[in-house]
Amino acid sequence: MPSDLRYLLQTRDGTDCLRIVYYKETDSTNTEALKLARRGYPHGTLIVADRQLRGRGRRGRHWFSPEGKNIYMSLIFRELERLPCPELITLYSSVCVIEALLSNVKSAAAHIWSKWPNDIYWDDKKLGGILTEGGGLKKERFFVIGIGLNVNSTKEELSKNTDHSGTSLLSETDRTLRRDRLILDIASGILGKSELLGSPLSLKKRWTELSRTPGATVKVIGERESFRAVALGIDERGHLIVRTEEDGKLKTLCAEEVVHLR
Amino acid sequence: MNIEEIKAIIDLLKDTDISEISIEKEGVKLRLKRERYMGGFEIMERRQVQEGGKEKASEEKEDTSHLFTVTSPIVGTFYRAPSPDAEPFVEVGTKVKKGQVLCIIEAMKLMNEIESEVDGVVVRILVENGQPVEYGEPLFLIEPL
Repeated sequence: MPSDLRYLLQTRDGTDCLRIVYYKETDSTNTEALKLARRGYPHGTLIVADRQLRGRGRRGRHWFSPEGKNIYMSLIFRELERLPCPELITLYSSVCVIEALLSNVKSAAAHIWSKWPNDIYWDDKKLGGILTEGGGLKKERFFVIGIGLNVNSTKEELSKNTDHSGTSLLSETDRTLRRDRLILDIASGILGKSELLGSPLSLKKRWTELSRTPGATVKVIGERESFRAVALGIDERGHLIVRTEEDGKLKTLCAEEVVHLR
Repeated sequence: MNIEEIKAIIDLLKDTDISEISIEKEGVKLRLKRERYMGGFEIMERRQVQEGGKEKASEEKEDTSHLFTVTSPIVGTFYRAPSPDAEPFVEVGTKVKKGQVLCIIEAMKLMNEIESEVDGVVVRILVENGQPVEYGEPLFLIEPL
């Protein structure tokens, strides 16, 4: 196991992770977590990989996952009754990821923000993303919260990845960071912050403080149409409310993609 | 046959032990079937009025009460495949096991895998790929095996 992941083995106390499953490499931590969840692994199981062979983003997109550098983690979340509204899990998780970054990375507060609904940005570059997947029937229903975060990838390495204009903590701060502390902080944040989880109003407030999407001019890309709009903010279900540029109508988005312009 | 007449027939039947009745009048066929779990007559009646008025479809085709309806647990977008260039999870005619993934509903970048609650065969897919769906909207009809 790489030295900057070793705390995962040592510190089990003080975190809410019941079980940690580590892979040197795996196809995707989310794929693995879905499998383990179906096999009955408990709430709070944390799956971490040093490298992903088929890292996934939304709708089957590729996620850049080189060995030994970045964070690829998934959490099994079963306590769905704690969520007044299940769709809020993604926004909630992005708030927790950002809180963990704020306490581990100097200067993060001035640069890191949440792009609606599941991306983490450093200024105008993507630093990470969250892919939440749900499965199981009725009482057995569970969520798998997958987090990919570029931590120690070099600028050179990132430039070889042509997928998107991504960045890493290393290339922005010139410091390498231990991955295990950050992973454990993110996991305990998600499993422990019940006051945000249970209160859509507090979550909405905190997310709005941590995001640059409200107020931004955006391009909205849906399955069937795309248009320009100004993002106004989120409602209590986490849906984004925008005003279209063309006719000034208000629209509520829940599944569309949003690209920030300018 | 108008709604008032149908209502009158239903009212008449309510206090009887008759579990099924077929009436044909002015080219409209009405079949009422009493099934406790569907909450009485009204659901059957509505479907018969809609379908019976247009054309005389075969009785087997009209009666979907033995089929299992998979509904959407959330508001979101309906996807039949894990990614745009992948094969759909199921087609009409696919044999599915309980727990097998039928589709994904996306809401707020939360991809919800919707699983079959029964062993059976997919007989109808009610929503097109990429369409928005409402809470409780029927997605699939499955014939239990």
